[in-house]
Amino acid sequence: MNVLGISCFYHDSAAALLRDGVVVAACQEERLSRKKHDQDFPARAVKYVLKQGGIGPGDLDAVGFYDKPLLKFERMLSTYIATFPRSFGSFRKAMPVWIKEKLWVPSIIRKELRPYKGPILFAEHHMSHAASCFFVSPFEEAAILTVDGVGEWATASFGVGKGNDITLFKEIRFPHSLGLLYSAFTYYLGFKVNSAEYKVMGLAPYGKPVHVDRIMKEIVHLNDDGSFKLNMKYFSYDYGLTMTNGAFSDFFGGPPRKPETWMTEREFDIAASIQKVCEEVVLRMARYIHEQTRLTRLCMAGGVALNCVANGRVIRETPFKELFVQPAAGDAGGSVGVAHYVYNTLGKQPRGPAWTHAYLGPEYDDAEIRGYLDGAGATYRVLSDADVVRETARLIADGNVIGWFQGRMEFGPRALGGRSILADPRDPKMRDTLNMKIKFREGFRPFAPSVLADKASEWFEIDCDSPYMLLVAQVREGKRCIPSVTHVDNSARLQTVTREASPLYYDLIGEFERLTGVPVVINTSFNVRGEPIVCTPHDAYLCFMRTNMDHLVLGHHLLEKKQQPPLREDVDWRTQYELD
Amino acid sequence: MNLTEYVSRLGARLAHLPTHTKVLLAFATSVLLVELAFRRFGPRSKAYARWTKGVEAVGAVWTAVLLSIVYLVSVGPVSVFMKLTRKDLLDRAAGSDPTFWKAHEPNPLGALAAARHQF
Ligand SMILES: [Fe+2]
Repeated sequence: MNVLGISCFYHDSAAALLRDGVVVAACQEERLSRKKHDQDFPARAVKYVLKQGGIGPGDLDAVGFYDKPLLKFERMLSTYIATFPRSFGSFRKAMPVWIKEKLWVPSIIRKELRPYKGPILFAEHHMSHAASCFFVSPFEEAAILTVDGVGEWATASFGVGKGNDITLFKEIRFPHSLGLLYSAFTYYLGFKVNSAEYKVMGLAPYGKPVHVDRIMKEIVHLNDDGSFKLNMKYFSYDYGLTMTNGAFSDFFGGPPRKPETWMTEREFDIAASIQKVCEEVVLRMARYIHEQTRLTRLCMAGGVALNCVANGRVIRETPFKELFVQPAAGDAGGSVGVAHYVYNTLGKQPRGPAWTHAYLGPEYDDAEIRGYLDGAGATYRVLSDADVVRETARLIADGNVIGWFQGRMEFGPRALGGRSILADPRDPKMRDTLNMKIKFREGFRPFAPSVLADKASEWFEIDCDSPYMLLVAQVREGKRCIPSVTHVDNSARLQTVTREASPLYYDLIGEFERLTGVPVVINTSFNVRGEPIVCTPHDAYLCFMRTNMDHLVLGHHLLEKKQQPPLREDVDWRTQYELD
Repeated sequence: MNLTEYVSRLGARLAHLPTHTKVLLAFATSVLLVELAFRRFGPRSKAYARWTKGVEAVGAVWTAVLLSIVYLVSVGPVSVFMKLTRKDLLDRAAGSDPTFWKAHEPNPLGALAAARHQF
């Protein structure tokens, strides 16, 4: 049975193909359209997943859509009524898009999937999130927590998954939203909403959480059970085109920071404060859910589940013993969730195997890579598997920055060794080099380590796997020789790598350890600021040539920058991508 | 009725139209003819791109005008009624409830039937 899951029209649209309960392929539209956080109908991603499954639209048995558009529309109308006349600007901007597109989801799907004639099924937004994490987790039974900006009405929910069924018990409703609260601070700190929330998380360790008590007293009314209400006096996201208003600015003693301007202790402290508040809410929610369900396993999804600092605290500081976070925890993962919901819950089908990796995107074989490189006039050497590992590890140990393009692309926002930039974490200058000369991004942003799973607890204060780079742990005191992946508070957002999930990447890190004694490499996404992670050999080659990367490893092909001819008809990437 | 007769009757009817209607009709016909001419003879031309941009700008103004009317006529009165009856659709009032969790209400249609709908 083939089920296609689709998520789109808000941000990060994506498609996933489920065959007999197993995800055959899943891909975000942005990777193929090259438009960051692309929200349009994922026509390219649908085409790709169907091709990967070797079928056409006519062979699908069902199509699932990740939310309920009419409930969302009802929420919007209610909001316009409640905030009249201030909501006029928002109404005028949103209505044409709704009337033209968002109210006609079934027609759009039928048009894009001709000649598909089967059912189109809709799941609630938070049910899609819940299904996206529970059905691919290794747990037969688990508590589920979903937290995001907003779906239809719900902004957070919890329940229990058992076998092929999920029951959601309770929810927090719009406008009270932890995701939107965090986004409001993201906006106030001068970063892009729905895109740069992770920068606030990265900024937080530089500051002191001096505003926590004030925020808790005045802005967030938080109960012991993790439920909360926001004081909407400070926000404008319910009626306006911005997230915060004058009252919020007065509260923090100044207007929102202008993007790309200098940051001071003030911004650091505000970031530290909202991060702390976010952690406190998630921790209280998790403790309450444990109390209600008495289960020791927890699955999490929704944009807030990408807050790996909060996730790390959930596993350390609540009674939950095991945690599974969906790697595409944001709305893209809703495509996987709704497909599973349709197949497992509605279709009452047994569950397939748990996910062990997130390599669900396109891959290119050596013939395709060579065809591209020859066409581009690139100079390269072809290596064996063993030489790819040996040479790349040696180059990293010698201080080179490597573009690493292997196998299938990752699903979700993190590069996990399929489309990564790799470097030596021992070099204290490497962080600045990568930030300034290669990624062209803000200097404060930390880099993440990939570590051999069997050595993780030796190097980091962690005793579970973090295969999707969604947990933060402290670097052990005796192991602080990896400054480029150690944040100012000695934490690191790590990926644990197993041979089962990623044999070549595992061997590469193993070889690096043999050369240096360190089983850790820097792993950052293969892109420049504002660009979606590379997908094709063409994307990878362009990114390699436009930045100061030293080498590129494309499958079995090794390219050295110095040997490459200049790019033909190149354009400045700064004009091509909007900064995030 | 033959074609000549039909055309002459149509001409007579048009001639009797008020002047402002004639002007509007002539304007609409010209816009249609220009659009058709561009589509036929220069679909990729710069002039057509500029023309489209201009027409879209006019469309944006009209959309704004129409939406303003819809907003005032439909959203406004309901909002006033809600305010008079002291009902807040967003539940924004600060409260001292021991919990703000709300029960997740399953769709009364049942899971499968509910999934067939967008609500
Ligand atoms: Fe969501």
